[in-house]
Amino acid sequence: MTEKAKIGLEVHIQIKTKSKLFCSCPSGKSENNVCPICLGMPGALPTPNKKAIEYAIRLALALNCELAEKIIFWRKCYFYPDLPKNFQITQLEPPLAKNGKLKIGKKIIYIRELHLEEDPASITYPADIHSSRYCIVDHSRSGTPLIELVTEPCFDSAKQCRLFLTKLVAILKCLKIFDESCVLRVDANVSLNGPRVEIKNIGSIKEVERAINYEIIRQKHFAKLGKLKRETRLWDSTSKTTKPMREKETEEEYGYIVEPNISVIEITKEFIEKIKKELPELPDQKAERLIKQYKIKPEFAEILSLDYDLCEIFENIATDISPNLAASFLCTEVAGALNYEELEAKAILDRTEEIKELLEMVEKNKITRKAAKKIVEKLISKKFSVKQFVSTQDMYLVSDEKKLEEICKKVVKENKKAVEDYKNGKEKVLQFFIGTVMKMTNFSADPQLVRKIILRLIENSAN
Amino acid sequence: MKVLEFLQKVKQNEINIEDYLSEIVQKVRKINDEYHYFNSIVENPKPEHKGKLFGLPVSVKDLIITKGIETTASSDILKGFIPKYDATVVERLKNAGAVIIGKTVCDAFGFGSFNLNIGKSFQPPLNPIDKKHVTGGSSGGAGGITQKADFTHVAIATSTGGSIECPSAFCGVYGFCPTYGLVSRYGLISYADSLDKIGIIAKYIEDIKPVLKIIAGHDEKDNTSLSQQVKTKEVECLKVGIVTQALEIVNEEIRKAVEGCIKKIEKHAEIVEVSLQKAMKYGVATYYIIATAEASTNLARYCGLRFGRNEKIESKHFREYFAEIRGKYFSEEEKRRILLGTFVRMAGFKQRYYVKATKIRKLVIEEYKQAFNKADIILTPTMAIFPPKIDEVEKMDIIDIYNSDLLTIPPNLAGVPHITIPVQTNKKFPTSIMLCSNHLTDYWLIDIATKIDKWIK
Amino acid sequence: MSERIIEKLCKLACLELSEKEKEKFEKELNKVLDAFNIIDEIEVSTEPAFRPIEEKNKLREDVANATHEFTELKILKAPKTIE
Repeated sequence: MTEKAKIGLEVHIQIKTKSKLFCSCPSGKSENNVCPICLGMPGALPTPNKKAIEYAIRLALALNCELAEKIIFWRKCYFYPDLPKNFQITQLEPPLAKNGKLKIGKKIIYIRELHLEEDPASITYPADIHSSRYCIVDHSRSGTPLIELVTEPCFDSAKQCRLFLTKLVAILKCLKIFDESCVLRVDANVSLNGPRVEIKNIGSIKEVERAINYEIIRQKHFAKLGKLKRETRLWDSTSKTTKPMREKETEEEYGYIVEPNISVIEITKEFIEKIKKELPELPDQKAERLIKQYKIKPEFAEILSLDYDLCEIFENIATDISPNLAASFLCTEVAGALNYEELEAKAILDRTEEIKELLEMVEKNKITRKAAKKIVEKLISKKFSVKQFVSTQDMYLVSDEKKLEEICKKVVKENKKAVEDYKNGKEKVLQFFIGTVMKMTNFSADPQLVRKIILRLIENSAN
Repeated sequence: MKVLEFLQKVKQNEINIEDYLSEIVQKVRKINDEYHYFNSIVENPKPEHKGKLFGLPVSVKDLIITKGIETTASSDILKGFIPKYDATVVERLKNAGAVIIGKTVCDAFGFGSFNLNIGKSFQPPLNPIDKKHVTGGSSGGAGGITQKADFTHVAIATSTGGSIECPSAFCGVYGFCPTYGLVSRYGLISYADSLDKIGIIAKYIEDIKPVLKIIAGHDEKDNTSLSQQVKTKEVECLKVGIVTQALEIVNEEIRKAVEGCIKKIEKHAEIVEVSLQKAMKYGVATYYIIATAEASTNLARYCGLRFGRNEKIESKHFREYFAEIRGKYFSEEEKRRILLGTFVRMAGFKQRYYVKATKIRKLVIEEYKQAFNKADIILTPTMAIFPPKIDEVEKMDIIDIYNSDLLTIPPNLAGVPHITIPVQTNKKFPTSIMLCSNHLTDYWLIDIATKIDKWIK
Repeated sequence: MSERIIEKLCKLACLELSEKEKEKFEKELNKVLDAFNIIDEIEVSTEPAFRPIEEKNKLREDVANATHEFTELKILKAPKTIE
């Protein structure tokens, strides 16, 4: 019997402001980005960043949250070398926003709350973590604005978590409060009707899926042995396993008090209205519009709506070439190639024109779609002139029947066994013949014509 | 010589600043050898800018950050800390031409009423009237040097629950604590941020206003710094509020002296009775709960990293290292307030202590608002006792020590401006009356206090 | 306030105390808390006051300013986080 998993996520999102949350130091990578405030020096006082608050409200509105009437910051007190003041300025009561929702397909994900807080510094070790005699604290990150978002435990699979996070990132990008330079960190609570296990420190969406899947299997195994217990585990991305964290000496006890140095911030109706007006089109709205405007298939519309940059490319070329071709090529060939190379669509934004030229050639039957696929696979790692490439590589469509027949004959002759197989009803073999011819012609052969010739050659071949 | 007269003479070149300042340094050293008012004395003080306070010698309490000058909060844990930044008040004073002559000793982080809670690397300041007695705290050095100096000088001090008022009373000088938020706290080493204020201790009441005008005013580096302007007030017949309960709890001689003052004031103003019942009854507990809760979080950052004391970190777990450093360099009172402050915000006790105290504080503020409907200013004694001998304090019970702030805590909790005026008594030591008025009537209060000071002389 | 609570406070506050200190503080803090318990007498239904005067909505514009004086403190050695 398989138990149903119950998963909740706690997502820490770095947001893209120019300065840090409580000081004017540049946020993100920069040479000189520490000051008395983010170093927690005596006498230094925090001043809250207006943009960070606006950004958090943007996200809250995009996720249909209820906003608090006022923002109060608190001190969450615990000692750790990455925390310069040995307390973190965060929010406790009320959270900035609560009771949000996000639709993933037909499922609704409930968001318990979201709030703003400062990121601690980062810790590394000079050697192996266990043999190092000290650690190294880098304060560059200290004070970066973070949004902490907590969902209800409403996911039942790792895949669902991945889909949610993908959509969340799409929304963050849409809202222009997040980009590749920002980091997303996830803690996941996983339980199979048994004790709740918290997995900390998962650094990417892919890893979230891996970590949860690992944890579900681990828990099933341990439940059988009767050894499952409530605990906090750490995701180790190198070994791809979760490992137990040392038991804490004290239960979580943060002795929160109000941060006296920050005045109350009211979230007025006017402020909300202003932010609402400036909200961009969100993924769901975008998908709907793409279907209506370009008449493309819903599955492509959904993929495009979730990838801000891919959709940029789409909308830039869909006026010149068939939207259906553009959408299907971007969502299958291009997205596949990007995924293989582990690249984001943003990396090829400057190759929009080349993609358009390729698809124009496909549309006008100058090259095959297969050829276009091969070219785009090269194009995502390096920009080049596709027209020149097509001619130097001899990839223009060949529909010269005589020329193709010669090649086809050669292929049929060299694969007698396959011909037998086909005759014995193994129709898949046809694809093998076509594929081989395509490869031999550097994908320039007209696949329809090849098919015709091959079929004829097989028919005519002696028994 | 009073500040304005001094500034005039400097302007007209009747005083040579260079000579004057080097003479002061000699005098300060001499006084310091005997009385211990300074943690550090500036070698060659000179004005860095032209301005309204050009040439004015100013001492700064060692709880305020000064660029390039060791800043310790009189705590061993910060010994050796030389900041690379200035507090806003220091920056403003320097820009106005004032000259920092040194950093005055105080109770560590402002934790105390007698200036005996100091690190092992520091010496307790001695009362300028009798060295066997305390100066009062926490701004003991500021009070002592102000009394002892025979040169023009103003002391920048701080108050959280009475740290300006108490040493002013014990040393026989004037102390002024502004409305909370009027003077920027940027660069003031936090004791309890929601209570901390920077103010002034001066030998002459007229010296306060010219300095306050320079240091007051909105500062965007301090989020609680007020952008509202200070108000003036028109009063036909001044109503002075008296708190009978406050008079009943003080030393007999002090009560007689204060009653004498009230009689003299009565000739010029109307005396009315006001009630500060909640403030008097719950003030001390409320104050110590809020102050220690905040202080215990503020002191968390002192852990032997980044600034101040540090030792060999290799091979130690951070908990072990932090606990060791903190155990070694915090003094008894720092430890006591850390423990108490951690307790009152701990799960299971937070509602009963910390949360409740923040609510009582609201009642105290409201009580003051009501009192100011009846009276323009409220007059009480500043301290219930005369400055005790140093060895007497050592025998005092912790509750008695905390209770010695009973009269100065209420205006500090409410964040209303208040000023103390020294009053002669039949004893060796003078005492002091404290006048307070409504939020943001600071300059008006100083003007009224200047008149009252004349009436009672 | 008991020995157990003093131990817990020391842990929470990352503070090493000698046995003598622990004993002394336990006694004293009990006295202090007894005195603080006077606030149990009063009923309060008001909102809390976090500061004596509250000016609302004081926000800083998002402008970055790099300072270089503190760069030497950016990367520091610190004690270990695991045993």
